[in-house]
Amino acid sequence: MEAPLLDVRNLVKGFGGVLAVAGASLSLDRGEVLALIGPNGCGKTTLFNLVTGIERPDAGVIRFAGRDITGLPPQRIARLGIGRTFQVPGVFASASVRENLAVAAAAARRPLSEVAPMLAWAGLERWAEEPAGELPHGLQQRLELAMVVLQRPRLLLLDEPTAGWEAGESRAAAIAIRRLALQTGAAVLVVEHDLAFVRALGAEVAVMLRGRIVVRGPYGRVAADPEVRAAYLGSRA
Amino acid sequence: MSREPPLPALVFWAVLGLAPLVAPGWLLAQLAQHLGYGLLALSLAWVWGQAGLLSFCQALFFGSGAYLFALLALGRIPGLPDSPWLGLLCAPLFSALLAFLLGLALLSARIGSGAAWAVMTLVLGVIAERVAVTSPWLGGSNGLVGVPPLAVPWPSGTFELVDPLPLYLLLFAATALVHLALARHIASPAGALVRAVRDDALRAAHLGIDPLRLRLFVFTGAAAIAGLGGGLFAAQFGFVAPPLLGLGLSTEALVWVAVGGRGSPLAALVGTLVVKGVEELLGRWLEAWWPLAMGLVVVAVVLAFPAGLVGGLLARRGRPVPADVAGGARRAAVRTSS
Repeated sequence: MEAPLLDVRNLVKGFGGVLAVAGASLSLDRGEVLALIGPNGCGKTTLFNLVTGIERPDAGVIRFAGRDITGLPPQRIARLGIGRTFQVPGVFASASVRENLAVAAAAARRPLSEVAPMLAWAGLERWAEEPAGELPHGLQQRLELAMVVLQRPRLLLLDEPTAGWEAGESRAAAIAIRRLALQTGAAVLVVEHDLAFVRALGAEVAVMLRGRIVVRGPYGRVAADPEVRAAYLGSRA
Repeated sequence: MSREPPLPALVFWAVLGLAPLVAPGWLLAQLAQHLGYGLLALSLAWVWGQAGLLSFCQALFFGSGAYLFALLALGRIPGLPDSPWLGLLCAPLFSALLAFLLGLALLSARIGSGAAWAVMTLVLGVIAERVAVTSPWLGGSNGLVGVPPLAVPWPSGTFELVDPLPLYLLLFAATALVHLALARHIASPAGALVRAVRDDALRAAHLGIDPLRLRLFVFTGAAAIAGLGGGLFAAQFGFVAPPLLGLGLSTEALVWVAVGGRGSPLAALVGTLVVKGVEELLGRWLEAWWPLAMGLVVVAVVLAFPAGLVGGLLARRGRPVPADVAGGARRAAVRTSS
């Protein structure tokens, strides 16, 4: 049997006596899409930070494509094929939209000729020469996603990609992300609070509570889980 | 876009290229000296404007290049011939090696590119000057004098580069070539990566860019440029002294670059010539009071033109070569634990 693309085992990370991640385990296969949900402070972003090398875990192992990447620096993890977006879009504010994509291409040693098609893919042609920092939040998120996609990652970690969006927009984004996974073959792990988005994503859902993944499965089954209902979904499910 | 508009650079170099036709010898000699300082400004514009590393020790690399030139030209390094040309070749290499070792130590210590970095560079400059003052081998506080000039074979013997015109042409060629190379680098994808690290090193790392390696590359390369300037300075004036390594000259260079505009090498060059020119004029008019007046002028310029006198103008002609404007807001994203 083929090893999972991402295999996280018993990850632990504490900050000054507070356990942000307390033995989280998670696996993701090639091309799989998974939504990671949980209340604020449950450790989702810390889990992303551990996988992408911003933080070093206190215990546990992270394997990517069978290789132990625990504690590697972010640039080496990125070069292995893990791309990430941030809650606050991580674009280079003083550079133009086109330059941002050119940086992403140069960093991944992709030809600069791929910048123009990516501008079109993201619908950013109109703003190509604008400083990225002056774009509205939604367009910055689109640019950040385009930068990551341009690098052809094998695993895409999206941290609240629809924060601040209208409900209709977030459903469209969910469809776009599914399509992206199909087109590129990349596995996608999405942290999201917007349950309409999660439902529209139509993917499996993993729920994180108090630093651990407590349940994983189709949205309907997860939503019916008593622990999840009590701790997170409540009457909104 | 991150390239400098070509027309202003062409005009700048055309004017300087025609200067020998109209300028008297004393002015050419002065311009040659300022072009040497221009190399120091170019190195600072790269390391500060492009890589975001505020360096208070750039003169350390200028001075180390000058000292190495002097030591080699005077034959004070055992096992090596006394050769000014070898000195000029080794000056940038030695400065680059020094910067590589110091940069590796500082950057590996993960002190970032902010205040701690700036303070450490300041300390390095002070230490270097003290070392030179206390070292008899380096001539102590008097420095080294009687450094032979560069010389080329000539039908009637050798031709020493001591007159204003040949010295000016040498400095003109060296500074123009370095400016051209730096402008090409800045407009290249590698230049864009350097600015990406400056704007947000963590975000850049997530795109697969190694911030330490890029910063070290720029710090080392910029030191080589400063070292070349120092070597040419020693060849031009025939002496080296501890202030060439110290905080005073490093701070002066920061003023030149801030006044011209740190976002563009051309702006840094123009800033150097303007500040040095204004210094000369104020010195003549105000005698001992000129530093005070100069300080007021610098403060006024920096407040009125945050992007620099020339940097602001270049920015209007196209997109600027942006100075450090990235917000810390993006970094907040990764500090937020869910």
